[in-house]
Amino acid sequence: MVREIYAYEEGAWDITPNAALDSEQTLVIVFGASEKKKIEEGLKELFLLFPRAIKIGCSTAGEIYQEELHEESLSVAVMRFDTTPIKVSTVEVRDAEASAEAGRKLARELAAEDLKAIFVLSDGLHVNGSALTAGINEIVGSDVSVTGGLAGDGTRFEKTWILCGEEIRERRVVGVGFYGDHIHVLHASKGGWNKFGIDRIVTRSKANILYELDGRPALELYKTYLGEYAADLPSSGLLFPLVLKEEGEEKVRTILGVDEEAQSITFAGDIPQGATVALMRANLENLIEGASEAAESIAKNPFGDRQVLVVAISCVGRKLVLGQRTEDEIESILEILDGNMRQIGFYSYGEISPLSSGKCDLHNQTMTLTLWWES
Amino acid sequence: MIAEKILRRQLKKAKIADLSKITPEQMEKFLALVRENYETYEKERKIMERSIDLSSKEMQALNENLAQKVEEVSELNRTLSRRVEEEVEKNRRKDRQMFQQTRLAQMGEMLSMIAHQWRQPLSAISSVAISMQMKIQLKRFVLADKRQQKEFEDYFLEKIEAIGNYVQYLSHTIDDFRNFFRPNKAKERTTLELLLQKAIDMLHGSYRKNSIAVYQKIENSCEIVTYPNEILQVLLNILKNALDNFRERNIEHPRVEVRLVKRGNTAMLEIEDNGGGIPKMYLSKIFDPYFSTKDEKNGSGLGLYMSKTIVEEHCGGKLEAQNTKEGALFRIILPLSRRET
Repeated sequence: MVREIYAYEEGAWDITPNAALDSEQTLVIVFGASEKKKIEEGLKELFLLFPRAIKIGCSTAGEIYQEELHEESLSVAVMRFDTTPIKVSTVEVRDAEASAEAGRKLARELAAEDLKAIFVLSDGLHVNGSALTAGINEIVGSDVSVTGGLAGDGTRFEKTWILCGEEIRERRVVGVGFYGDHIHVLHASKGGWNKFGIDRIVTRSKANILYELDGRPALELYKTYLGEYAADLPSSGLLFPLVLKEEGEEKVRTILGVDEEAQSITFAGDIPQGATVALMRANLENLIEGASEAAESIAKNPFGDRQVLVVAISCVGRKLVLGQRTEDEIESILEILDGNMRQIGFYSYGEISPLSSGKCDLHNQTMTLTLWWES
Repeated sequence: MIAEKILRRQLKKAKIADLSKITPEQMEKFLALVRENYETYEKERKIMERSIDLSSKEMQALNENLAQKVEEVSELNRTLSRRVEEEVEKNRRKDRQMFQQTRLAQMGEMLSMIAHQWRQPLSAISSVAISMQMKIQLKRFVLADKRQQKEFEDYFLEKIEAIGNYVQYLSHTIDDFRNFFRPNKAKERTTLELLLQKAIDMLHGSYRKNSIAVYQKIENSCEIVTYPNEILQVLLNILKNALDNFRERNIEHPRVEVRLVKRGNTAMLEIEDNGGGIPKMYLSKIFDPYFSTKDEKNGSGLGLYMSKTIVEEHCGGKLEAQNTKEGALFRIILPLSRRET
């Protein structure tokens, strides 16, 4: 595998992308500003340079490029595989209720006996991430590692985009399948948020929409806690993710949107009625520690001197809390991972990676890493 | 360290490489970044303080609510244990009343049993007296004759002795019944066989009058430590029920079979009759208080309830009933005395 990464900022590339890497077995991953006009030119150039490659990507709430955080840019990785076949599939998603079916459809198109891994990028606002991963799990076994994330839109929560081929669209999911025994995939995911305050019971909810906690409107509770910053909802709501206790596992859920009329909050994943939840708060040291721990959990693996690509997908909520310390968590990954590493990534509205059971699930407020190399 | 790191980043983002040559644009960008950082921290501080206050208040409210709930629960507990005590006392009183009622009912039954027991010896006494009177009136003995005078004396002594025996029998009967009504103070060592025998003897008159055959299979006398009169009351109750049923249903060739065997460390006494059995729909209710299939005059509906209470609660045993091919079977299981096991 030959791997290179490029950044496009303020109308210029840091290194000219190498068109010689273009092939049918080349994967181009693009993470970019949600405002298209800032990156349109860069994308056009990429399409010209890599006409044959599979091209996927999504909008972000901040692009990760090596140890740096970029805004309104493109962060691009190009991987030309020697022996690994790859395949792309994309599915339109009408609304959140169609998420599970989209997951099944995507997985069905990619499924094969020698399927090793899937990398998924999804619309960040119109897809229920829990349902999407549940749909994928129905089709592929837990031996296939499924990782990825939900597209972002800064802290605006208005519009995200997904790239597949040369098309940029909303309301879709794109996935790439990696096949055969020569591709190696590692993943890790860590949070770093602490539960605080009292336990609360979900007294009214529907899928990923939360209406009431302990019989009172959930939106009211968030507004009380946010005080003057309630005006910045939904983005200020990211400061208080919910921890959800379900089947012995604790899952973190983060806000995607609010509905003033219904007094409801939309989360990136399901909030089942009757479940026990609690508010969470950030601990800056823990967040950075969490990113380091994710890297440490895979640091001692045998890449040798092979070229490795690290895709770091971190939650927009972390960036919001970390502020100018955001790069601390990005830096900590490359400080720990030893070898021939290049890192790109993005700040997302949700992360996808396997649980300890091997089945993939939606995570929120985590730093999720995926590493690829070929032997 | 952190401050330095952030400062370095801010300088880099403002594209300041040389601190001695800063353009106004670079300075403006740099200050914007510094301001942004202050704002971030200010916001975080405000939200942190606010959430600590709010969540402390919520915790406090929860705590107060909890303390109140604890008080409510302990009050509920107090009321509950008082009510349980009251109910237990009420039940005890009811049980005592029931015992009293059954006692009275049984006393009535006893009187009729005594009447049966006494009829035969009384008529025997009467017939002896009549025959003696006849002998005198008909002058069957010539008292002038020395030999006949001797015969007369022998005859008289024999008859008087017979009367004496009958009287003694009557007196025994009274003792038996009187003992039965004397409440037991403490457990006594006795055998189930002995108690069974006593019960059969006490009912002997009534059973004979109704031509009820009694078969006994005693494998072991089965020594037990128990309240003898209470167990006797149970046996009489079961045997009396069999008798009442035979009479009510006009059973031909009525028969009661009793079997006494040792089973491990328990004694098992089975009393089986050929009276047609207990109707299926009543089988689960016969041990309930105030349940009776007899008419009002004959049944208090307490006999079997008391019997079960005596066997299971007072004597630590088991009383069960089932139907057999021809009739009903009552099984009494009692723990054997330690000497027996």
